[in-house]
Amino acid sequence: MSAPDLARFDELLSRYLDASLGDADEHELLGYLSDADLASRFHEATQLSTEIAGVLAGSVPDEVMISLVLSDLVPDNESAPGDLPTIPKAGSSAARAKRRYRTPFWLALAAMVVLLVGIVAIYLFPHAPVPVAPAPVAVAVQTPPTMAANVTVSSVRGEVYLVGTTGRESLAAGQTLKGGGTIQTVGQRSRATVVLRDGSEIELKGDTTFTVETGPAARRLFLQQGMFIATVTKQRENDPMIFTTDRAVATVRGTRLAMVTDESGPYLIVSDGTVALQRSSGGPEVLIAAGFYCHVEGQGQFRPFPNDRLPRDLQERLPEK
Amino acid sequence: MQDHPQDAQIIAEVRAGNVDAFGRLIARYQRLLYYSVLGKVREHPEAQDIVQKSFVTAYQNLATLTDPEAFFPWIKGIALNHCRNEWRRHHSYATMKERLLEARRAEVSLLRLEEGGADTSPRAEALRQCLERLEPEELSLIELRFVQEFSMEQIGAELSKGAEAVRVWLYRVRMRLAECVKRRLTLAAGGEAA
Repeated sequence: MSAPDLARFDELLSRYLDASLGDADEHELLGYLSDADLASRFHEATQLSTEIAGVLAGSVPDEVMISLVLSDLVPDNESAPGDLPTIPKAGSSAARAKRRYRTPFWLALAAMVVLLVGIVAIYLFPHAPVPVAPAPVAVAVQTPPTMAANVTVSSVRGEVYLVGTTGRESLAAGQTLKGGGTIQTVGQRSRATVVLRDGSEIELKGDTTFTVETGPAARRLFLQQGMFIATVTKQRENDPMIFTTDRAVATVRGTRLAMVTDESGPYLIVSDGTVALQRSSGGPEVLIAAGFYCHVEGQGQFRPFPNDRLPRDLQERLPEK
Repeated sequence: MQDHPQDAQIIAEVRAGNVDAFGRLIARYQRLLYYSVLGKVREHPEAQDIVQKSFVTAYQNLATLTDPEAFFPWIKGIALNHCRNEWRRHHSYATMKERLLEARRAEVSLLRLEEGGADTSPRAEALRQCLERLEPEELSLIELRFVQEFSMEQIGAELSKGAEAVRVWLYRVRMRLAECVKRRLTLAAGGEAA
């Protein structure tokens, strides 16, 4: 590779690392990555960036990690660490019974995983199939272990429930939700505030049904009905928090916003930062800046308006600045 | 011995139902595991997630650990599998979104993991030493970018420089750090060989 080419590659790489790469540049950089040496240089540079950030941030304190891990192992939402499931001894009757009972399910799951891996391998790695190294413990692809303590209920007022497939149970302040769940406030004066693991805070207003998706990060949230006000901490690059309703998807990287469902369509109201809004069915993303709102109604294009043009009943429901 | 029980002793306690004992294993290894996976993930918070998931997986499969004294290599293997899965997930997502550069990054990273996935904890230690030797203004630059996560424009405003000048400067500092890490690892390897 000539010196000018290498200089150009380095410039593109630098822009990539600092998230300032345009679409055309992206294609150009992709072209360079067909060269094994440049792909290696690219890998080392991205790896170093992650390491710099990671070394400066450091690992979490031991007691925090212990608490996170133990809460992941708690079998239900309110159990104490003392209620952890016991580990069946290898070859014990309990272990054998558990295995016998679960065999058909695990066979089905294993078949699904094999099928999924096959499809992924065929469609996504046509030129470079990924070899699978021997594993000390198999970890199912795209099926992370149950995660918990991603959502903490910090305050509750009135009737607030955690809704499950078999019914609902009252929710109390201080309770942690195992990997998320659906929260329902019943009555106009009921309220609940939840704090996500990254520190983002979401206040649910009355008569609201809201789901925090399960998963390690709990960054996908669904508003079925009602209203919430969220203060979202700065999100990782390329990994934003996503709020959805049946009609709209709001992509958030750190901001303060409110969402309200309405028969005519959801409203997104931004009071700090910028949010990208898109119809659930697809189409262009519209950036909504601080001080603007957007009402996703009908099928046509939507555009932002200043918050002072919000319907009066909605303005009254928003907190004062 | 009493103050620092062997892993096998702790694992026996966990298997006997003493959950707190598992906390001792977490305290013993979580930092080491974090630095072991740091260079194998896309962003550093992912490394923390993987450490957490790996301990959960380890607990759930503790009955299958045949050599309790090999707990750390075993959990490192688990963590490596989680890293692979995260890259695969990222590859699928990037492909679906037609973000081909990100998909390529995932492919390259997966390939590197399969090629050997050397322990990155010595790299982290070398990097820490190299960071300590940066000039104060370079360290400020690094902190503004990686700790505060400022954009080039914000850093420029902070340091009275243009955004483009900041980008070029930052890249040079990165390259110097990369060279420094490589040099230190080579020296350490030479020392071990001697």
